[in-house]
Amino acid sequence: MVKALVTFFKIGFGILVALITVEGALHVVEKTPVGKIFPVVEPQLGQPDHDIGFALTPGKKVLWTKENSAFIEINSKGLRDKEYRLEKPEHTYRIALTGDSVVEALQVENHTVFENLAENRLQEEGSNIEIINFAMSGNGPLRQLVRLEKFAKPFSPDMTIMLMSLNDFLTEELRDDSANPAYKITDKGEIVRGYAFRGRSSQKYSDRPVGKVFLFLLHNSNIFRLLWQKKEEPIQKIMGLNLFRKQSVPTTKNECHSKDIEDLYAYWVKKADPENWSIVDHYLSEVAFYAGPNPLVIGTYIPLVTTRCVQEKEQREAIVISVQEIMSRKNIFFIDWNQEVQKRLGAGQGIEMLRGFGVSYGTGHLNYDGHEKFSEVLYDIIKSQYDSFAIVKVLED
Amino acid sequence: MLFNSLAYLLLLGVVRAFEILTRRPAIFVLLASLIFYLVAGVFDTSVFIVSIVINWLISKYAPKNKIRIIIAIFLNMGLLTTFKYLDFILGAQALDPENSYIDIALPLGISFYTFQILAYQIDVVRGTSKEAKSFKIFALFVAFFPQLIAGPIVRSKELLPQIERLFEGKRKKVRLVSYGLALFLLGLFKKVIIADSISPFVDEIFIFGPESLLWAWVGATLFAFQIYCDFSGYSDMAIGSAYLLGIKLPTNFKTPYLSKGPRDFWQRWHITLSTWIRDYLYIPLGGSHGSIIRSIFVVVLTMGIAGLWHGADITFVIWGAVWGAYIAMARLFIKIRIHTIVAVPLHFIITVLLWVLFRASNWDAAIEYYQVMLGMNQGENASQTFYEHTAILPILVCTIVGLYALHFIEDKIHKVQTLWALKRIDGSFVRAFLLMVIILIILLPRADISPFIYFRF
Repeated sequence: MVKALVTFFKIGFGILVALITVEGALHVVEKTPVGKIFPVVEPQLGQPDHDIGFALTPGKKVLWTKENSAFIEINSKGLRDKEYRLEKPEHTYRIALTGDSVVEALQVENHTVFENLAENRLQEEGSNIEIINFAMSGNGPLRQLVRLEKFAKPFSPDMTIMLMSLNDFLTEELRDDSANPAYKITDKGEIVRGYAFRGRSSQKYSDRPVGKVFLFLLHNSNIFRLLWQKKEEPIQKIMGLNLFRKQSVPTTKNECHSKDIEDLYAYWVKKADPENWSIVDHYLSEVAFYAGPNPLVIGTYIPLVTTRCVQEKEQREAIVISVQEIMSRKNIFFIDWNQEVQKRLGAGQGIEMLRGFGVSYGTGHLNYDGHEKFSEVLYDIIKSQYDSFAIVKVLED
Repeated sequence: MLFNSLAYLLLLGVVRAFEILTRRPAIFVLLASLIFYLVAGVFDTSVFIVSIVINWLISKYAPKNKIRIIIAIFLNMGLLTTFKYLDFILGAQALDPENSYIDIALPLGISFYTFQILAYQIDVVRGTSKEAKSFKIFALFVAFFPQLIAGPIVRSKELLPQIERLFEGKRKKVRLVSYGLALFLLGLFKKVIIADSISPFVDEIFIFGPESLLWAWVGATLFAFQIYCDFSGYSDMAIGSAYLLGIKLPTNFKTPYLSKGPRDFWQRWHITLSTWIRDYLYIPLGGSHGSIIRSIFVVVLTMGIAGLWHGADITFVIWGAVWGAYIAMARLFIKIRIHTIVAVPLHFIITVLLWVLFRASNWDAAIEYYQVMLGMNQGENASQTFYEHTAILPILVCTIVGLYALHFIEDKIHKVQTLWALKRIDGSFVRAFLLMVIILIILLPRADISPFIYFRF
């Protein structure tokens, strides 16, 4: 009995020493430049938020190793940007920028994100303009608006630019989403914001001691986080039983994006889904209400098609005209973002060259070249508004 | 099934449990070997079983003389040629280097088990090895799962007696568990932490082309360490796993980048293949006997064939032949004594240069790479590659220095004293510690499960 207990104790102690050793080694790797090469556990960047479900943790500095390896920082206000004072400095024009993971841009360092590049260029030219990044991964249209209301409003922005995929309106994300803020239609037929996501355990327990301990471990223990992240993976993957032979995949890409364009055409031009349309209309009204008298720009990603795709090209043009009309009725300035980026590329260069790092070139998030090109578009949008009354007035005030 | 997976660890644990609890452990090892290989696919397993059955029938019914050797060579090399070299012989591209780690039609490990079987057939006829007493013993000798897919290529005189003992139930008390686990951990570390981590950088540099002389050397040197850590990591895990089952497999690597010359290198790199080539190819072809020209021709031819074993591509043949020429040159100038301090780095640089031929996707790509490496060409434009170059280059250079330092450390710990030390401290604490570290390393996030490079051979 005693011998068994001693063996049991030795095994437990061995496991404990192993956990401490590996935890220590992972901490060293993630805090030093070698983390750019050797494996690190995906950091926890966010925390539960009662209003918007999930928000970035203020002051977090981590090495993000998905796609590319970059040391990134979340500022003290919980934004993926450098520090900005809440009170707007005098004679400064402030622009709130929001979007999804493309704008959040965790793949590159803070100073190379396109909004920072554009801001630097404008400031070097003597324009006292600040661009503040309110984007967060997975933010669809309504979540962007909710983040603007909660985080951007206190910064008193003079202009707001939202970037989103036009496909986001086709998903059910705007309606009764248990993970995100979403609209619901009441029995009386009214469109109101629902809070289905507030039933999630992360919301319920985040203020209780058990929730705080959990969050502490999630943020500070690599091994705890590693095991927690595994819970989403299928058992086959955890066991390492997935096929490791790379099957030959046909590489012919659909340059016409027929399905995407057809779906967008049915939705935005033919307005195929009346009930959803009432929600989209309500959403755009709310966005316009948030912006008030200040300029509001919505840039959308619509798949680009080549000149060979005659029908898709015509449908795409119809989509752009339709979206433009719908938004202009709400005083929203619409930008066909992909088209604007494409204009700034050389002949024969595809927009996909702006995505992906290393061997994954062509897929994924914006690479350094992508941020350069996006910054040019952003710069030009702001510059085109430069002579407008709004900017001149603020700068002169 | 990959060694760097929890599934493999589970399989190993179950087999070891059966080995401890039952009197017939060999049947479970054979069954586990079949399960292990079945994960690769039914097609691969069918080819593998056909190969075992045919060779068993040869050893059973063919006369024990040169006729048996001829039949064995004809059938085994015929099988290998059909799956591995037919496209190459017919002029088609067998492997698409960018899209596939392993040719889909190439049965996993066929190069390894074919060589092991051939060696068995030849040794039995030569009288240097006993014949397997039964089909199941022969089957397990070929299919023993820790060394099935990528070696070591074990001689029958080393493994058969151990397999026979396993079937007779004369199980040795396994007293080297900690050593086996430590070896497995070392191999896992080399594979998962080093080889898989530097692989994206190597791929990027070789696929897009190096952008400068420095990047070319960094890419080639990193590949030298990637392939070493990948392959020797597999061997260490294989040997460690076998130790856990009470079987001793031969050493396959002895810190080859500390070698003083080409001959020394091949006595430290993939040792079981080198000795196979020496015993069944080089010596029968005449070895170092005869005129200087003849001996140079034999060594170049032998190494060219050894290169071809690695892959059905002309770059592998040239890679092997150049190694052969280098060995012949070193033999010619054997009287010139070079101090170790000069010889080791000089030979390492030549080894790195030769690895370019091995890694490049084709001959033209290799030549372009060499032009940048030797300062004859400017290299690719930096905008073609995307890692933040100014930040990552010093880290990669430091990594290379660190890897070379690790090579020295590995040389120091790969001693019998380490085995004795681990045997002394073996116990519940050490075993639990090593096993837990192994599990955590396997669980570490990876973009994709990377198969071992040598699986493609």
